Amino acid sequence: MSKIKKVVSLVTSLAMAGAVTAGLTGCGDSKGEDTLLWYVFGDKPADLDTVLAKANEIIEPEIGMKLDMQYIDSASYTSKMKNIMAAHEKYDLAFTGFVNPYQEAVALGGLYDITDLVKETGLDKEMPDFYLDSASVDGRIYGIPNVQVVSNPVSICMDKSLAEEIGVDMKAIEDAAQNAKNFEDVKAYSVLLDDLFAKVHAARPDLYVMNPTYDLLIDPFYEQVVSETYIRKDGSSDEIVIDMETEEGKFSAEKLNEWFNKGYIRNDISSTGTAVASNEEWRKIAVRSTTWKPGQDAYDVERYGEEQVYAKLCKPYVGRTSALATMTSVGADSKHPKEAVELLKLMNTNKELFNIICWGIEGTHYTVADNGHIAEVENSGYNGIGQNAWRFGNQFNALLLENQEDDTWEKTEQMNNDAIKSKMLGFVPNTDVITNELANITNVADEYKAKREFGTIEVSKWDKEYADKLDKAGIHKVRDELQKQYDEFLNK
Amino acid sequence: MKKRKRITVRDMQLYSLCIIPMILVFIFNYMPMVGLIIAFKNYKFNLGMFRSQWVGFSNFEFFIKSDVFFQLVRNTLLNNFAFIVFGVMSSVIVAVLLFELTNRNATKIFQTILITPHFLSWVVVAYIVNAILNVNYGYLNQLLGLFGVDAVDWYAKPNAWPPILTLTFIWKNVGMDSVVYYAALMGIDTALFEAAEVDGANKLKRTLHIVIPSLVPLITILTILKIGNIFRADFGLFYTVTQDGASGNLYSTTNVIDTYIFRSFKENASGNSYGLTAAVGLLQSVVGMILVIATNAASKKVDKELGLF
Repeated sequence: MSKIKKVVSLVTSLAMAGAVTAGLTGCGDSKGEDTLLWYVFGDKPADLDTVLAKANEIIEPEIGMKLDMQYIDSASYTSKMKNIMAAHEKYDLAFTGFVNPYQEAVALGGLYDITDLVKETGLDKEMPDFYLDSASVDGRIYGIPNVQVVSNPVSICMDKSLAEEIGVDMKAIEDAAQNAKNFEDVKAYSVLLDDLFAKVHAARPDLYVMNPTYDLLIDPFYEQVVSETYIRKDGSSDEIVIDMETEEGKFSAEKLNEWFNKGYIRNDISSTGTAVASNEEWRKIAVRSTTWKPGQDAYDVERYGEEQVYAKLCKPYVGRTSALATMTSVGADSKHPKEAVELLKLMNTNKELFNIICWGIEGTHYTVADNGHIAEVENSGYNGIGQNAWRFGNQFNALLLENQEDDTWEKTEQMNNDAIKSKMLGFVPNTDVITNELANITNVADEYKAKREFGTIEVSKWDKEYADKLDKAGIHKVRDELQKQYDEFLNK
Repeated sequence: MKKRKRITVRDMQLYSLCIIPMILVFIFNYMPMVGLIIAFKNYKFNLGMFRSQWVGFSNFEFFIKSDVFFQLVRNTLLNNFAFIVFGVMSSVIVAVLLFELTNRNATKIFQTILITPHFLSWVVVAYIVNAILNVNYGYLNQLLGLFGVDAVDWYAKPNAWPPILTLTFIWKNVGMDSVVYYAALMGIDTALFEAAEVDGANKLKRTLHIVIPSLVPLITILTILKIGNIFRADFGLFYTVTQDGASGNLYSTTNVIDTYIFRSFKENASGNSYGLTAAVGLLQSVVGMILVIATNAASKKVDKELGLF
């Protein structure tokens, strides 16, 4: 009898072991076959389900499927999407761009080739050509840019009261920068910056004078190609150059170090890794380097607590990858790519649907004022979504908030269309042959970040070593390869 | 006549107890090893692990030929070597000192104080270190200020960091490590001490001739285990405590294989970050395994009893 007992106990323990393993593998997908799954980044709004139900009243009759939206917090969005792609999860749409980088996802084979579907559905007619040109990789398209501002010029801004107090002429700086044709002009412009910074430092020693978020002596004049290689924005030369080998690059590094030593830049920047670690810290900076776009003024008053004066350091410019910052792509393993693209088209054409996703339900989540602008209902469970309408589609279709000017979108569109277009638009370097070099260069550039970008250490102490390491990492091979490909592109 | 060995029901019961751990080890330690083939491939999501293109050893070549290879190996080895040497020394000393304490309450208090840091995450430790070293309001710089010395931006001084990291590492780990040695000391036959006392040995003599020798086997085993991991750096320590290598300023002494893998994986947009980092990880493991076997063999040469296996 006891033998039987033992056998029973053995069988039970085996069954338990089996259950454990079954439990480990038994986490399947519960959503139905008729649902499109869309990943976006951000914090999930409480009322998402209600809003989606409302949106599905429009979506379902049009494409015969329902939409389910999943929010992933922005800090882990990139890495989670990588895992999702690597695990071959059958999602349909996902945000790609400045998080979950588009070109990287394409290179890793994580996105669906929607070139034909875009033509089939006519989605390509819904936006200016240069958007899709930017998105094409070897002539194929793996994502649709979410139309928004793509031409914002690098700028500096400061509190109007402070500018008046120290008597600074922002227009002169703007003109000097915008009209700079050569290195001598850049030097002359840097003298104006020196003067501005010195005055600010004397008047407000309690503030950091500037933040080196943008390189004021490089970014207005050069566009990044790949890694540490640049090309002139004014189109005067088709030569691809290496940052520290240009006169401006070296000069900029020296200037940054000078500014750092004079106490213009926060002195603990190498350990914080950034000049502005939180939104509050913007107010600790006197001359803020940022970008400008129509409607910026109203936005900045709230952000900085005071009216701002601006100097736009270059003319509006659409770079090679500007349109790739905010996109929506179809997952490589999607079972319904056609429906997914149809939904994208719907989001880009149907203003009602788009604004439901952006702002929620009228009356519940927002109210319409007399001038047609809207105000969010506080704590409605769907706040702060529409401000970033570029997460979901064409931002120009979004309803305007109360304090935005009527023609914000027209002005933005105008700026985009009138902007100087990079000669590199549509040029997508094939990096397969220089993968290892690029990886090495990235590591070297990382190592010198505090020195090159923040100016923490005297240039003569590291520039030769840096150039040497970059050379060993293969920067010249990369430059030559890019130049070869770019020349071929130009000759086409 | 010897009975033929048969697996009895009793044996089966014992074996069945092993089943769950064995399945877990199989699932989590052996099955993922299939993924090592990524190190030899140009991995693409849409092609998957098996259909991605083979690239031979080119992923390894990238790492070994790169300028950074020497820096990484040197930093990883030297920093870890310092951690092992000073770490073992300090935990043995702490254990001996605790052993000398006769007051039970005092022992408990000291142990608690020493072990507490072990439960802090590296992120918290990073902020504590920052509170000491920050250029504007760090304690150390304020202290230097009292003596009229200008504030030093420690996060821009790579040479200061091997000692800083070693101190931080010891501070965090010494309590936990010394517990093991302390336990071993408790097991020493007290008759030995009594005999020594009768023979007139003083405290130092007793420590040198009874306490230390009885710890040697344990020290050897723990050191072997640590040397096996010498190619694995503590990521939390090297990444967070240095504030991500303080934007590159500290790489020359604190960039180690693990932080390098992390950064390459995070930033390499060139398309083969999976293959490249898998190759570096595999290399790290293989070298680690060779080191374990070598140290084990070496210590067995010295004394047959000392080896771990």
